[in-house]
Amino acid sequence: VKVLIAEDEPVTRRLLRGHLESWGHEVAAAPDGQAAWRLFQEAAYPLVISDWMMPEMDGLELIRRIRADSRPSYVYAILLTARSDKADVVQGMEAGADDFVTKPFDRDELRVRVRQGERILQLEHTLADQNKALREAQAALVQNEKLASLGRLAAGVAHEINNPLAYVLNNLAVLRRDVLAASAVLETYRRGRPALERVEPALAREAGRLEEEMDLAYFQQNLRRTCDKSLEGLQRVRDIVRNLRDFARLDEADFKEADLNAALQSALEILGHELREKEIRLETELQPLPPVFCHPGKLNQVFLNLVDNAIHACSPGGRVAVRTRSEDGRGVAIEVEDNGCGIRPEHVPRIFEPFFTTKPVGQGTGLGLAVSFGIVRDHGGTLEFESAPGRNTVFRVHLPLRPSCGAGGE
Amino acid sequence: MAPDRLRPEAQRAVTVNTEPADFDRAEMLEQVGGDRQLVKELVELFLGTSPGHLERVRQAVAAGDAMAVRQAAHALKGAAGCVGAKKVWQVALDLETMGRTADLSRAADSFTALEPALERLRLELVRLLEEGEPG
Repeated sequence: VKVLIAEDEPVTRRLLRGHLESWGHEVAAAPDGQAAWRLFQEAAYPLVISDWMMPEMDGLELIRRIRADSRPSYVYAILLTARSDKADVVQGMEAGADDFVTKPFDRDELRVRVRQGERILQLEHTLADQNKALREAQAALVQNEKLASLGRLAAGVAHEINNPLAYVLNNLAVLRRDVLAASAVLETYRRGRPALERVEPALAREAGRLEEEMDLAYFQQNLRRTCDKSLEGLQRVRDIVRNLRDFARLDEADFKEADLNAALQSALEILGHELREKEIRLETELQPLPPVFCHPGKLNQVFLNLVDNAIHACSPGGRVAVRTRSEDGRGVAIEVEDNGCGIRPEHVPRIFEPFFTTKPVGQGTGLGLAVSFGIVRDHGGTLEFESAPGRNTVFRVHLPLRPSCGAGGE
Repeated sequence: MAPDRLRPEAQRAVTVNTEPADFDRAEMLEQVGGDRQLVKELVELFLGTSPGHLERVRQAVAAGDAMAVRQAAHALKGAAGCVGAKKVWQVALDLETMGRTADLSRAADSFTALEPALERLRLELVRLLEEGEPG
């Protein structure tokens, strides 16, 4: 341990240093409180041993300053004092001293008190680590729960929309066919228009007025396009709804063994033209993988999403790296890295939320990562990422060779 | 240094007819974990700094400055404690207490006792150093 000694009397100071060094500590010794305070501000000393009575700044003031200085880890302070009556002990502890060694000090007593300090520092350290781990676990739980409930909500909404959507799509297709046919019938009748004007001039005038009112020519000209655009829009709605359902749950009947390197290759082929268009250098490092029991189509979608995102993050001429490796018989890891813009810290907590997107309106649905997260989760795997804004981003999929029982369940 | 030089029996034999020694070599050696080099350094430090401490006590007592008596006696006491000098330590503690309670009525008497006690201690320490020289 690094120990800071504050002691004005040279013989005592030398003896303290001698003892502490003989026990293997790294010692810095100061001849008064001021000097000790300066040393303390320059470096971290987990253990401070200070004389009480010193000119200028005494031990109490030194310890008070150390306590007021908010350090990330605890500093154990031992006061050296000839005083041991109750009032002095109270005063010392109120200043922040953890322990006392009375002078003239005994080597063995000093040794056990220093060791006690080390033990407390060790405990404090362990506790701080556990606290950190707990906070992280809690954050992960909250995040998982949030995504799970969002998933349930999304699946519910998707289910509700799906039914009406199905018949609207169907009816629109029928309507398109029938209205186009009716339009053809109308066109046929209109060829008899000159004859009608002779026989029934009033009726012909009435028809002409109605035609003009609704702009029949424009209607007929655009009928096909209007129908097609509407169908296209509805199909997009259907895709979104389908994605939402995937986000919620996978059908286990579709699981089979697959080579994920092949799935990844096919995703890269699909995105080949995008890669070429942006002149992105693709680096692949695909190590042989054991077959993985999975839903290949869905994992394909995950890989497509990840690589597509990587391409979007890159500036033209950027670099995308795709790596796979086997994790000693337990599972596989797939990494997609880009040297693009990175993920801004404020976006990190929201990145797997459905409908969260940083792309311009209309370009991204905000479902890619949310759906990917759900798919990987339903395979009993994890999807994680690291990002240095402005430098790079790595998305890493860990998958077990076979989803364990209960994966895909609640 | 021959190992028996620091044995308590050897030491007692030397001082049996005089006043008991102010410090116990064996205890001191044990206190520093048997590190003879450290003993030597501590003794040299004590010999180098104690005249200054004594001088400051003298001036403070003469000036009747209780605070200064307390500080000077405190420093001397600390140093004496480190070399295991019980008598000097005790007298220095008495003086420090007088300084703290601002009652210097017996300070001159205590100082009169302190001076020869320290001188004797210094002689003993010098002898310890000389004996410690190789050859």
